[in-house]
Amino acid sequence: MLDILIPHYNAPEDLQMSLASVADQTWRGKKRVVLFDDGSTAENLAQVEKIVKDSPLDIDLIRSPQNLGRPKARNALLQAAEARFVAWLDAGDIWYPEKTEHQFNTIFRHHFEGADIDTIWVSCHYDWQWVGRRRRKVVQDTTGNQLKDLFAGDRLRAYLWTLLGTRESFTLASRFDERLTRLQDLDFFLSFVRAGGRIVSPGTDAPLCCYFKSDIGRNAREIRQCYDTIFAKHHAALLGHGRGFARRTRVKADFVAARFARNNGERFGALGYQLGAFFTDPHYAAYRAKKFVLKG
Amino acid sequence: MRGTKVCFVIQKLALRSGGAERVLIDTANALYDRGYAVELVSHEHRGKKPFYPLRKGIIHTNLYPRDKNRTRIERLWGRLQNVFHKNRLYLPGLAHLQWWSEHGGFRRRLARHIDATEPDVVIAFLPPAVTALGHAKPKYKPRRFASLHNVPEQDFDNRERWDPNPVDRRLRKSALEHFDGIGTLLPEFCNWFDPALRDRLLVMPNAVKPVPDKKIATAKRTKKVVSVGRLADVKRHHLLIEAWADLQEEFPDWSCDIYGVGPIEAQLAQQIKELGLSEKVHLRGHSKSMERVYLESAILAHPAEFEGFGLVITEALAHGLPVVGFEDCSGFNFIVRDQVSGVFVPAEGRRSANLAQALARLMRDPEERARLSQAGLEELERFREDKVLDLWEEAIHGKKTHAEV
Repeated sequence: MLDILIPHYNAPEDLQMSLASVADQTWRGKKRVVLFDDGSTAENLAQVEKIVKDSPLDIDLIRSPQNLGRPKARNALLQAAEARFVAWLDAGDIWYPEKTEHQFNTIFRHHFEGADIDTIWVSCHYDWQWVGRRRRKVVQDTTGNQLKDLFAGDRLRAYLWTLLGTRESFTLASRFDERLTRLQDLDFFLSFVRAGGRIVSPGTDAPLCCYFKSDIGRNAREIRQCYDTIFAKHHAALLGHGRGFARRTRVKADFVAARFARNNGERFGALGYQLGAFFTDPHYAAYRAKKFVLKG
Repeated sequence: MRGTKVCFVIQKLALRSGGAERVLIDTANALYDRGYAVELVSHEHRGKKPFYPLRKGIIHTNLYPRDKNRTRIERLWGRLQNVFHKNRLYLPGLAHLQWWSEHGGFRRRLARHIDATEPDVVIAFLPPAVTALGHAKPKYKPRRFASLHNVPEQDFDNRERWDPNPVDRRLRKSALEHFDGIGTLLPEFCNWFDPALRDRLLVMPNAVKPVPDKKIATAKRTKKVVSVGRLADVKRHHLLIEAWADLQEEFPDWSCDIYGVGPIEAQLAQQIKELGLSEKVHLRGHSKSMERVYLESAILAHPAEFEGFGLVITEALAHGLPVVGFEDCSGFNFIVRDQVSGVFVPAEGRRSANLAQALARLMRDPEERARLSQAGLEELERFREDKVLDLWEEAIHGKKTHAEV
């Protein structure tokens, strides 16, 4: 049995799209959706209740009277999970029909090869779509040093909705850090890998889900602070890959924060992060500037 | 979902096969199995894994910066510091500077790590971690617990143990005031502590892993006396070797195996050679299959001067071995009951002769050995894993109030 854990906050249309993608899965095993409404307005909650009622899926709706934030919502979902297998989805993102089928095939292949499936997560390639732009495929490369790749964020990215694993595997190391209003996925992935967990890829090159990306309304400073919390928490592991690497990881976080600031109209904020990056690692900042110019 | 976050702190863990390290790993594994989120934090130059296997799911963090991550200047500075740390002339002021140079980093990095990870409880294992955690000043204040694994006089008053710097000794003692709870192995150790600290004390013996009855029943025991422990003065293996010189004539078919490694190995080998016991007494070094050793032996001789607890004694009893040791050895006289699960050797008079006499009596009498062996297994009930783990939970959450009970 599979429990699909979905947090939701004030986005009933997005939720409907996500649930439709779950209903379209080619994997026909028994599945249950656990939906955690994180204090949506009465109007939105009423819409959610209607969606749940009309859906062909088996859905358990948990209502929170107030908005707890994403990490607490995810912890509540993890607490509510009962099935042997668990997958995640965010309201607004979608799975392609073959996602769970491919991932289950992978998990059973590992099981029959003698691996402990309670210490692995099956990830997948995905499509990345900025609002108003065309989709592009993003490859999740699990073959390298996973801890290093998660810090770097180029070859392997920490997105929970790409995953399927046993319920035990999601409680391997720790719970979601409730201090992290953003990026709690990254911290969760890092803890998992540091605790001996392993992320594996399904046997297909096709993307299996789609992430609709938007930076609008997200606070750049909050993002940067969350990065700082994560880097402090995993300081020894980060430094284990060399000082240069740790410096570059911090600079990349500056560029991410600059992107959020720019997309939310905070031009001076973005400039501040870029300047900070330039003084920390001028080589990398120059490389990013060159890439930006060449790309136009 | 994992609940309480427990952070164990120990200075050195990499490839260490000592008793305290084993207790730490066993406890961490057992608490993890009970649903705790567990992290082990060390601060050591060696970037190796722990000797004992750690459950997947437990995070191990070494706070010490690796050499490859240090600049050339920092490495040079480190080498100069190492020379400075070898100083044994502790002049006022200089001794403080030396302490800060040697241990300041552990304290500082630990405080930073606690602030970053915000565990619910931090447990310091062994005195160096107790000093660092006791004096660390994190902004976040978790519950602090000190877990001690030796006779307190040895840990806090002995000038030769741990760092001989008097500043370290003073800070080690004063660190205890900053803990919410202190775990000590034996009830008799409580008297050493300051009366103001006594309400924070928790007597928590080490747990014993049970051995299946079938293994004990089918054990093929040979005429062998075994002794296990680090080859150091405190374990007094030399008394056993001396005693064997008295025993060899009456018991030519018996042999004696001593397991362990340590600083006085050459000295003991020389003693064996001088007494002409090379064919009967063997130094076996370190063994990874101690279970087999216990199951093949008839008696455990434990002539140690003192024990913080005596993990070896409980292990031997769990494998059905009667234990012979001195009546004044702490740990031994707590675990073993005279003539019930072992034999107390009188401390008065010539110790080696007394030991030889006690061993001879048991070596002659297989029925007595069987009786002591059976009673020893029953004796271990109070060290059962789940009982000791309940005590660890008390250490983590604090003593329950009457209302909670």
